[in-house]
This record gives sequence, structure tokens and C-alpha cells, in this order.
Amino acid sequence: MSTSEAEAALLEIQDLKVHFPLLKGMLRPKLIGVVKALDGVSLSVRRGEVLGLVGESGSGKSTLGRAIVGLARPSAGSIRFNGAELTGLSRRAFRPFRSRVQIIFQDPYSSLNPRMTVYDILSEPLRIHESLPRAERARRVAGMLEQVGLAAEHMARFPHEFSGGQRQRIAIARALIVRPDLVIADEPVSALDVSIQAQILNLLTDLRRKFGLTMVFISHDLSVVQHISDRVAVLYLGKIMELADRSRLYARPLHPYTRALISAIPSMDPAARKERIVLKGSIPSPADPPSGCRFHTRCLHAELKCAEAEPPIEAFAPSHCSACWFSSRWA
Amino acid sequence: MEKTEEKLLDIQDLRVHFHTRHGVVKAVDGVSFGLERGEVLGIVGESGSGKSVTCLSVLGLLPAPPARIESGRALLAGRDLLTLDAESLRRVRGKSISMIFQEPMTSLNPYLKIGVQLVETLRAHEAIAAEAARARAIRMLDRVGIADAGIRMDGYPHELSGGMRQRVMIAMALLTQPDILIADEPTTALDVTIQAQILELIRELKAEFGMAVILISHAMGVVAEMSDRILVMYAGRVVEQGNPGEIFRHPAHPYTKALIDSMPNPNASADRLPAIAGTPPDLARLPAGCAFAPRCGFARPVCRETDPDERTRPASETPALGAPEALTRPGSPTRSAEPGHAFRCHVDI
Repeated sequence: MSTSEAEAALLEIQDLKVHFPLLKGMLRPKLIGVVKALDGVSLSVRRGEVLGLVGESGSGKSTLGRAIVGLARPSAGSIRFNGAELTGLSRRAFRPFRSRVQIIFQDPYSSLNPRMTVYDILSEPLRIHESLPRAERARRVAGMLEQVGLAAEHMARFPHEFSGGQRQRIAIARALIVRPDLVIADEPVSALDVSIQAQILNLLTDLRRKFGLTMVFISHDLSVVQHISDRVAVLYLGKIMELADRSRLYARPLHPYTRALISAIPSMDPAARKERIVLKGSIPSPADPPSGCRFHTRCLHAELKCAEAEPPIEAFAPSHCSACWFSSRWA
Repeated sequence: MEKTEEKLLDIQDLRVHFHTRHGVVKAVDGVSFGLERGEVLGIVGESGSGKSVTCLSVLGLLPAPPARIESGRALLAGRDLLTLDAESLRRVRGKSISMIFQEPMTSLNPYLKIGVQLVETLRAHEAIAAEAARARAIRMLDRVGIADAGIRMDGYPHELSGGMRQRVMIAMALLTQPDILIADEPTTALDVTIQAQILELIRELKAEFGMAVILISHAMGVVAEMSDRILVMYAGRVVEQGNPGEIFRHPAHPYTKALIDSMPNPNASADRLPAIAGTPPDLARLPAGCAFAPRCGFARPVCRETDPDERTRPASETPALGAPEALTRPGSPTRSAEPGHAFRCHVDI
């Protein structure tokens, strides 16, 4: 089982670190610190699955997505895509992978060039990655627009002529037109209204099935992640706190941070309302993370040990890992 | 009808239109509701539904032109806010009614120390010596959970996290002990754990100061948890109102029902969400009849012809709820008669 699972991994991330230098001064900048946006993350994404990444701002979830598509440079660790190492590649050597891994951003207002028509936006990746005759390109663009619920006659229009939901459809079409194996969706529905959010989530579900997509779905919204993911990783200050199958993670969270996050989901149903765990304070600076367990400064269960030593990430069940000294309490 | 006089704020048939090059945008088109002392009134709706415009127009904060109040009254303790001159309105704003916004960074002046902004607010509305104002500001910062309040007074907004800035905004809003706090998407820009902190704080302060709260949000869960009563808005109208239990367990309007169904829900195992087709209407070109009809699964021919009147469903018709504490939360006003469940729809769903 474990070997076939390893074979099925499309993306394999080992001890990935992304550190950003903190500089002060304009003329002769001095290094005054290091922001550890990602500080040792290991996970794998299986072919065909949706892996959800949740965490607060500053947890490193977006940095992880950007590192996978080559938009953030890893400081250490490895990213293997389909068995091939992606870190350390030159821009040129990386290029073949760019069409295999695509990204959809949160804000469809700023991620589409306002001076390009929909046709230009969708045909640009085709021009870069595939040499197709012009007629064939137009056919592909029209076909893709249809797949995302728009019409071929929208090709000549500009982004400002579309609503937020329609723009997100264009962004999805742009990501999928080169037929990628892996799609990173970074908060793709967070800027949308509730009724439109459901349409886009349905679209992603349909396209996933149709194209056999593998997806990393990044969101701060735990209900949305629960809806769409097969497995979920919870990040905090650049580390994975917990990683489990969707149903296990939400039913039996083993990390105090996950437990607090899940309890903080506002519920419409008064009967479903559980005791709320309100965490104190806010996420510490990733330039100066707490000693030991990074979460101990906000944890309701923290003991002396937590400030002293960092808990390893351990498996408590076949598909359930948690990085807490006391996870066995809830196991 | 005798209840009218105990209402703290009474909005009657408010119509706010924007006169633009593309036509008349009917942002708010006949909205009526009351707010009682100490009550939390939640307003839900998507962008463009008119929830913010309703509140901004009551406070005289809309740019006119293009905004124009076409009709209506907004009675605060019997005085119509819509007819007040700028100076009188300024005295109401920040004194009787305070407002906090979604993005606390843009609501605070980045160039001014936090203490200066707090003291200025207080002294604009009360004859109070600078020292006394400063002392009160420190006490209020301390009360909203800002550590080392005395030191923070001399800090600038950018030194604070988003959650802390929202706490400062709340402190500023409550300094003058207003009767009404309008919170427009107060937690939308915040992380989940910080959202929980801020909602908890608003709940505590409401109980402590006895103010009424109008909570505007697109997040149904947030509104359901916080409110004593809920208005659901669509295309500039209130399409349904009632208490959270009734609205969420037995929605009477197809839009409310569709909105609730379209939320990701752990109990529904289906892959696809029952999404609402289409997009909200262009407010400058509203369809005839009910504005929701083009997207409504229950629509009948009559819905596309005539605008439905408001109907009520008596509260007693609704079965008892599983969690009564949700309806009588500590600090909730006790009402002699539960206001009914009102909605605007031709169809019984």
C-alpha cells in the first residue's frame, strides 16, 4: 500500500524552507533578520486528489503554493514533481514544468490584465507553451471558455466587462487551457459573494472530474476546504501542525490549533453550535517564531515542555499526523 | 402599534437612488425596519444588496450627488435623521450612533498617534479636559483588550495587527457611549481566530454598555450567531426578516433558502453545492415583478409581473427550536410579543 501510494504521489515536498531576508536601509541594505515563511514542510500530493491547505495569514500557506509553481525561491528542501526535482533549476530548465503546474489567484480583479481581451489572456499561455496554428488556438480558447461556463462570443471582451465570478471563471480557464497536471488554487473563492462562491466551487469540482485534475486548494475558510478537499494540512507559522484525511481532521482533530480553528467556524444552526475555543492573541511574527512548539504562546494546553522542545510530526493513525506533544489525549 | 415609540431607531420606507450616467441605480428601494434598545440586528446580503447604503444614508455619509434620498424617514428617538442639517448630523454621528468598518487600517489616520485620534473623537462630542479624555481613552483601550494601553496611546496604527486595529476602532466607537453601534463587516478582513475574538468582544461590550448593534455581514454564520433578529436583503429590499432560528430553520423566502443551501455544509455529503444560478441584477435595470424571480427556482408567472407585498408568518407557527439559548441570549431584550416572521414572496415554499 505504501509503495503504491508513493508511486501515486504527483508532488513530493521534503523539508521545504522558504526564508526571506529582512533588510533595512535603502542605499546599503543591512540584513536585520530572516522571515521564515516556510520552515520545514514535508507533504505529498497524490495524483487526482485535492489537498486543502488551511491556516491564518502568516501561516505560509500562500508561500507554499507559490514555491510549488516557482514564484517563491526555496531556501532549502526539495520539491519533486512527477519524480523530477524542481528546486535549483534555472529559469530555462524550469520552463517545461510551468505548463504542468498552474495557479489561480484570489483576486480576479488584479490577476487579469485589464488591457488584454479574454482571447489574449487565454491564448497567451498557449502561445508560450504550445506551438499551434492560429485557428487551432482559437478553437482551444473557445472550447475552454465553454468548459468554464462562458461563451465563445466573450472572447473579444475585456475583463472589466465581467462580474467577479465570471472573472474567476476566466482565471480558471487560463490556468486549465494548457492542460496542467496540478493546479494551485490560492483562495479562489474568498473574494466572491456567497451565491457565486458556490458556483465556482461546483465548477472546480466538475473540471476536476472531467480533467482528472490534482489540486492544492489554499483557503482560510475551513468550511470551503472541508467541502472540496480529500486531505487537509493545517499550517501555522511555516510548519504543518496537522495533516489528515478530510473526514478525520474535522471529526477528530488532534492538534489544539486545529481544534480551535474548527470551533471558530460560525454556524448557522443554533443546535450545531459547540463550545467555542477562543484563542488569545494573534499569530506571532514569522521573523521571530516562539521557541519549542510555535503554537505554545496561544495554546490552551501548553506546558513547560512545549516552550522547550519542538514536537515532531507523528502519525496517530494511518492517514493522520499531528505535531503536538499531547495529541494522544484526543486520539 | 404602541411599540413604535419604544423603538430606538425606526427606518420607514427608505429609498436611496444613485443618479449615474448609466441610469438610476436603486440601491435601497423601500426599506423599513426598527431597532430596539439593546438589540442586535443582523443584516445579511450579498454585495450590492443595499445593506451598507442603508446604514450610510442614515448617517448622512453618502456622497450626494450621485446619491439621493428619494423618500423615507429615519427616526432616532423621534427625530428624523434624514432632515437634519450637517451640523446636527455630525453631533449624532459618533455620539448617538457610531460605526465601525471592515478595513480598520483605512478608517484610522496613519499619520496620527492612536491616542490623539481617540482623544479627538471624545472631545469632539463632550466638553472634557484633555487629561480626563486621555484617561478615559486609556481605560477604553484597556477594556477592549489592548495590552499596555498607556503605551499604545503613543503608537501609530501601522504598529498594530489587523485584529488590534479593529479593537482600537471599537474603542473609538464606544468612547462616547453611543446608543447604537453599526458594525459593517467588522470581521471580514480578519482571520478566523481573530474573528472569534472580535465577535466575543462585541457581544461582551454590548451587554456591558447596553447599546443596540446593527451587524452588517455577508457571512450568514456570523450573523446567525450574533443577532436577535435578522434582515435578509436582496437588490435594495428587505426580502425576509425574523429571528435567527426561524430564518435559518424555516426560511420563507426562496432567496434566503437558496443562500443557506449554497453554503458549504459538513452534513451535506454531495459533491456539488446547490448554487444559485446567475448573478444579482443590475440595480439600474431591475426586472419587472420580483427582483429575484430570474434566479428563483420557485418562480411562477405572477413573480415576473407583480412585485410581491410583505406577508407575515406568525412566530407561533414555527416549531420550537432545539437550542432556546440562541434566542434568549444574556443581554437580549425581553419582548412581550415576538415579532413575526415577515417576507416578500408570492410563493409558499
